[in-house]
Amino acid sequence: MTRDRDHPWRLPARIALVGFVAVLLQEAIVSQISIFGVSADVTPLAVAAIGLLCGSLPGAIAGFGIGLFVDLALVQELGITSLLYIPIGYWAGRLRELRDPSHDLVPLGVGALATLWAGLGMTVIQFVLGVDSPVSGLLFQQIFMSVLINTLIALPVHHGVRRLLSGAVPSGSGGARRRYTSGALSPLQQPSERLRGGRMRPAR
Amino acid sequence: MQDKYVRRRRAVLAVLVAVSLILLTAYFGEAENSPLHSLQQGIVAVFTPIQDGASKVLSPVRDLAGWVSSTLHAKSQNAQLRALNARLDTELAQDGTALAAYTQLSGEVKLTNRLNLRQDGPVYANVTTYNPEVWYETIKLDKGSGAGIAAGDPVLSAQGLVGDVSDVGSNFAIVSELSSPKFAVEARILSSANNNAVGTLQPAVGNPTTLQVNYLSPSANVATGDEVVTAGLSDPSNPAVRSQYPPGIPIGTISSFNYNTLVDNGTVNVSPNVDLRNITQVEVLTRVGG
Repeated sequence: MTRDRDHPWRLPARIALVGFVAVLLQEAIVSQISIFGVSADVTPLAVAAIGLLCGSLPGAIAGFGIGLFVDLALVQELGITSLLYIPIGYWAGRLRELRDPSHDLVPLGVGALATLWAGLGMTVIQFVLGVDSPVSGLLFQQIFMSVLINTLIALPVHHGVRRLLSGAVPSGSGGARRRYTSGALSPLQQPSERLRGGRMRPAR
Repeated sequence: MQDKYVRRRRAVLAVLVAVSLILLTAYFGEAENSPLHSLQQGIVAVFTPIQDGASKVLSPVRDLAGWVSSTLHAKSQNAQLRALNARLDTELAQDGTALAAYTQLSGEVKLTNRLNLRQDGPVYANVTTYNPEVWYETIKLDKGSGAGIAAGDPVLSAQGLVGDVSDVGSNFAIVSELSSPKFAVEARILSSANNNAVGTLQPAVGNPTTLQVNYLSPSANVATGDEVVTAGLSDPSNPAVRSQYPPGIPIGTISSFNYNTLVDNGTVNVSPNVDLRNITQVEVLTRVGG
C-alpha cells in the first residue's frame, strides 16, 4: 500500500504499456495469422486480465483506453470497441472483488466470455448502426471459432499481462469487498486440551 | 469509505460509457476531414512506422506461426493438398518471394493493358497488414495520399477487383475488401446467353468466400460459371456522372443460384477471383475518368 502511494503513476503507466503492447502485437502478428479462417484477438483478453488482476475501476478504464486505441489504430468507428471493452474490464474486476477466484483456469473462462461478448456485441452494434449487406449464418461460426482460439491463448496472455503488471498491482484493490471471515479459528480447528497438555474437563 | 468507493466506481463507469457514446455519435456525424477523423489519421500515421518495425522484427515468429497454421490447415485439407503437391514442389524450387512479387505485378500490368487502364493512373502498392475483423475486412497499403491515392479509388490485383480505398493518410491507405459490409459495386454478368444482366454486388457478411449479386432482373438468363465484372455505368447525357470503377474489371464467377431465389429476390451467389486473405501487392486506380 505504501508502495502504491509512493508511485501513484506506476499502475496507470503499466496498464498503458500493456494496452500499447497488446494492440501492437495484435496488428503486427496476431491478426496476420489465420487459423481455420479466423484470427485470434488478444485485446479483449488483455482487458479481462487487467480487470482480474487490478479490479473493476482500473479494468473499466483500461477497457475504454485499449478500445479507443484499437479504434484509432485500425481506423474503425471511434467508441464502438471502447463501449464493448468497458464492461469486460469492469465485470472481470467485479469478479475479482466479489469472488476472488483463485483457480488457475479462471482466466480461461473469463477470456472466453470476454471474446464472446466482444463478438456478439460488435454484431449487435453493427446491426443497430445499420448494415445494408446480407449477413451470412457463417458469421456465428466465425464468432464461435474466435472464442475457441482466444480461449486457447487466454492463459498465456493472462500470464504475460501479470508479468508486465508485476510490482504495480494493488495488493488489496482499494475498497474491494472480501469474503467474510470470523478472524478466529473455529472450535473444530482448535487444538484439543489433551494435545496442549491440559487436563480434560469432566463432561457436564 | 466503502460507499464512497462504490459511488466513485459507478460514476467512473457511467462517465466512460457516456464518453464512448459521445465519441461514436460525433464520429458518425462528422465529415471525412473533421477533427476526430484527422486525429485518427494522425495517430495511424505515427503508429504505422512503429507497427511496420515491429512487424519486420517479429516476422520470424509470424512465419513460424504461419507455418504451424498452414500445417493444421493442410491436415484438414489433405486430399486437396495432395493434388497440389506436385505444383508446390516446383514452386518451392524457385525464389518464392521474388517470383510471387514479379508474377503479381506482371499480372496486374497485363490486366491493366487488357482493360486499357493506363489512363486511370495505376499506382502499385504493397499490402502491409490485414484487419480480418469480420465487420471491417480491410487491408492496409504502404502508400497513401503522397502517391496520389484518394478515398474511393478502386483497388485491383492480378486476379481482379479487391475493393476500394476507404481511408487514406500520407503514407498509408486502408482498403475495404469485397467482403467488407461497407462494400458494394454495380456488376455485370457476362452471360453465355449474351444478355449481360446488371445488378449490385455485395458481400455475404461473415462468409469471405461468397459474394452476392442482388437486384437482378427476374428474367435474367444466367448460369453457373458465368463471369461477373464491374459494370462501370455512366450517364450518356452527362459524361461527368459515371461509376468510380472502370467497366470490365473481373470480380468472380457465379458459384450457385436457384431460379426461385433469382425470381423472388434477384440474387445469385458469386465466388470471388481474388483470394482476399492472400494478397501481397495491389494496384490502385487513382484517376478513373480523369
